[in-house]
Amino acid sequence: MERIQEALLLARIKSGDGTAFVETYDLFAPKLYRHALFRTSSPEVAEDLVSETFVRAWEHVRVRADGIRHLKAFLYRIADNLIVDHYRKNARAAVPISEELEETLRAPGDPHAELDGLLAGEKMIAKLKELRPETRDLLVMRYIDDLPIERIAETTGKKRNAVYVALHRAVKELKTLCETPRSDN
Amino acid sequence: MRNAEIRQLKRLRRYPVPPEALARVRVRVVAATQAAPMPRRGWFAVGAWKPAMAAAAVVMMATGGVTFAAANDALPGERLYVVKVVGEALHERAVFGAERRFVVQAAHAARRLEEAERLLEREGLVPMERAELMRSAMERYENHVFAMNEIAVKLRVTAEEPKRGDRAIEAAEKMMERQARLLESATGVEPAIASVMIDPVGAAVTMEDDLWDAIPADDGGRAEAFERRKERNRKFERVLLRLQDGAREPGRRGDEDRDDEHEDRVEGGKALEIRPET
Repeated sequence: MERIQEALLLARIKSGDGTAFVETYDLFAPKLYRHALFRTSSPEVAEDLVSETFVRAWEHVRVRADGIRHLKAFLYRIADNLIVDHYRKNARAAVPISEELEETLRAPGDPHAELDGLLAGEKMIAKLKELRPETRDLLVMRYIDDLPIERIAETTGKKRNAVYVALHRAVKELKTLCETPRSDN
Repeated sequence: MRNAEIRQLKRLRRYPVPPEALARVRVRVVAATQAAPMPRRGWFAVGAWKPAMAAAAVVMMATGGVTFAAANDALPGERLYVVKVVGEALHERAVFGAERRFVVQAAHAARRLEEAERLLEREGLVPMERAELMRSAMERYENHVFAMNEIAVKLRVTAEEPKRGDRAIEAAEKMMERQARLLESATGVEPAIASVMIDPVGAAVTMEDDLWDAIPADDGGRAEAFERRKERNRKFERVLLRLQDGAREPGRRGDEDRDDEHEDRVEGGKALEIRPET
């Protein structure tokens, strides 16, 4: 269903319909936010990156929309380049994700329900942080962003088969990490 | 178990995103689109239509009235082959339902394997020509396998539909058996041909892996299919090693030629190890 929506939005954007771009934001922004968040571990950075991604995407589609084949891959490519730039500029370690998210996501009402949801994902997020960036990125793109292999190949510039093999290795690595008891620092 | 980690990762898709952050960014995006609006164009300027029109033109030129049925036996390189693959593409787009789409893709993938087998046996082809035609068939085969994999990872067996996935497993099995027959025919092929077969064959094994991850073996008859798959993968492992040896230049052997990608598939059979379902 999302692919059909994506294709229709792209066709509308190519025909010059600017409102379709805002609808594109509504469709993909939450996923891009999560993508940036799991890779940078900072909600502020994730918000800035998403903002910059869509502003740059708009600058591009205004004049060169015809060259775009897949909207989602196009957006992810911009986001990924921005994330790489962010890593280069900021050598300092990111704030541990659980502290920032606990503050940001605590909603009025039942704080425990929010925290339960957070805690369920916290362990996996902590494991993701321990992985090498390339490994983490592949797992995030495939299993959290739900990008098909072709799109991941397009985004990373690798052959499809190389993506398959790398994904299997990444899952093995994550499994080993999850099975290894964490030593206290 | 690989399943558990992947399931936990997938749960992160629903990790809460702060609505106020999305709202703030949305304001900026809307402002950007209003500050620098896009020039209006007509629907016929849309680039997406061009490939569809080109494909239609090819079909019209290639057929001159020939039906899809007449193109069924065409091989890569033959005039009617484009009609054959266009017909299949139309069929794929006309099918609804994940499992049905999987079955159709598997059937078309099996046709690519049949084409590859016929190309291996075809007389009168020089080695380079045969290798190029085989590459065409195997690359299309790999595309079908990738399409099957995309569907497979999303198939789910539920309490309401316990038999969901049976047709997919059956279709995958038929395709894999066809692949096994092709590999038996490919014993002793030239290195150029062996090299175009390795990646697609590996991709098919991976696809079946993902299919079984999504649809667990149970007592409802799938346990037998699971055992057949284990036996088949043991054979694939031996054949892939032979293909890999055949793909190297004659006389060269040993670790210095090992490609990192292929190592993962064939190293001691680990990549093809079937993980038992719990």
